[in-house]
Amino acid sequence: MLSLVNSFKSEWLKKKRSPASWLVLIGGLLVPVIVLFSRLTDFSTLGASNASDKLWEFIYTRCWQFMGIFLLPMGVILAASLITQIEFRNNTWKQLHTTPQSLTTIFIAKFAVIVIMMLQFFILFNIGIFLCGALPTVFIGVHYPKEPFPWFSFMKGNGRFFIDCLPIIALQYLVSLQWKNFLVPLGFGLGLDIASMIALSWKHGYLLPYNYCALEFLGNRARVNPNASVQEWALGYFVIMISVAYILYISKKEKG
Amino acid sequence: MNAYCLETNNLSHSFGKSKSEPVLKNIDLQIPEASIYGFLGPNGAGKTTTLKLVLGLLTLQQGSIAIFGKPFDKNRVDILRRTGSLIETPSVYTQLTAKENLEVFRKIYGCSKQRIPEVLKLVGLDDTQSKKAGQFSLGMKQRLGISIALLNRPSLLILDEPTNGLDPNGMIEMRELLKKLNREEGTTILISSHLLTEIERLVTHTAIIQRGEIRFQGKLDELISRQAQSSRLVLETGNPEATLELLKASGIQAIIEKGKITMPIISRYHTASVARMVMNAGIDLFELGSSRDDLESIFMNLINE
Repeated sequence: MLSLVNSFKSEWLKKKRSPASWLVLIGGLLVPVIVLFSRLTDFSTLGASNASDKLWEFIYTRCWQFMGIFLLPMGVILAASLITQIEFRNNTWKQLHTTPQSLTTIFIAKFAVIVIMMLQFFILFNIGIFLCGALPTVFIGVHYPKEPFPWFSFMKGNGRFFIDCLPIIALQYLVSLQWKNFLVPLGFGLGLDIASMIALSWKHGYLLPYNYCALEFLGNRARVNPNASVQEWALGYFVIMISVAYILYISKKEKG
Repeated sequence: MNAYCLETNNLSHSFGKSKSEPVLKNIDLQIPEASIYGFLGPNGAGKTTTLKLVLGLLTLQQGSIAIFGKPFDKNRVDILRRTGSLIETPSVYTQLTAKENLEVFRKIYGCSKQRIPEVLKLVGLDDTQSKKAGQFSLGMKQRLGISIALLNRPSLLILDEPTNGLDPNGMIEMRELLKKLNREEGTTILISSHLLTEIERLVTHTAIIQRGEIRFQGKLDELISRQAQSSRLVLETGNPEATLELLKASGIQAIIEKGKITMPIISRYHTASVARMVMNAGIDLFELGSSRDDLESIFMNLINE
């Protein structure tokens, strides 16, 4: 366990100043900044909306509308690919694979970094949502939102989106561990994401993991089978894909 | 007790699916404890493939590897804990500073924080401060790669062409550093190179590999004794043909090469008697000397055999 913790700390340090760490920061705050900007430019309605009982639901829905359908899967595709690219680009797989740790430890530590990055991303995104409601009080002088911030329901919603991301993380991790060329996992992810979006209204759309974030946002508005649990499918796909990723990784003939 | 720090037995390897042309054929390396072992061969001879197999970077197809007397495949983590390595080009995280690069590996090896400035000083990178490794010259990256290899105070150091990118001064410093590590800490060093001249003043033992086969393995002294055996006496006289006839009549195996007589050196007294014989025959003797193949020539002969 100690070796896994040390391995994780080592992996975490590697992403310092890397594109992956910038992606989390920019990706997490991009949509809330746009929504905040649109609220500030429409300041005549700010007072009324801050006094509304549905303010947070309104902001949450607006933010997740952009994030859930396209940006979150894209962010996951990029983050998973960029983490393994740190080793490919610097030609460091060979040094990493000659350190005294098992391949299983390396695999889990790298995967944990991606997962924690995603959690960071969700936290930043929610801070952004909060600031969308709270900052107009500072800049425009309108009242602080009347409705209390719905921590619990937001956490539940975020948890569902997070589970929806897991199969994409696993599949992107699988592909990006196998190919040195960054364009392969990127093209693979983008291709599947676009294909899944085309099939979003298909009644069996729940079979396509890249759809899950969009299905989560659309809820009953999507035309997929209402009896299919997106979270259960997501967890099932995740277990299968992460297992395949692990087997392919440890059985690689050339490790650097 | 096994006297070898690293031993390979019947190591063979092929790339690709056909496996028709192995790049390594029955490699038996025997690297003694506390030796500096030079692994020599031209580019593409199989040095890096061998070292990658030894470090577990390639899947073993045939043969066995034992390090510190233990099979590598069953003791990988324990063996790597006592091993430092630098394979091919240096592996550094370009967005991190030298200290941060070392910190990445320090966390895994679990050595003290104090070790980082120590190894940076050892390789002469202690003044790089906040400069990112991506802005380093190739030589600096190579030094950083070596400092990573030294971080865990390894008992076995495996270096694949570590002087690539170093200037002549850097090469000398590197040699001195490796000698010091070997002498003071008893570190066994396996160092590969395609240039004998680069490591002949460093190594105690050597192996020469060509086209995936070991052509020579042993102490450097043995290679030097081959050099002595190849020494020849050279005479330049006023009449080479007459000199040759004279020597042959005395039972000496001599030949004419580029207008000079050459023959094996037998002893100092024999050399004196040859000189006397030529002069007594009234032949002008302009020059008497010896020629010997240098180590590089022996190396070239071995890899061209």
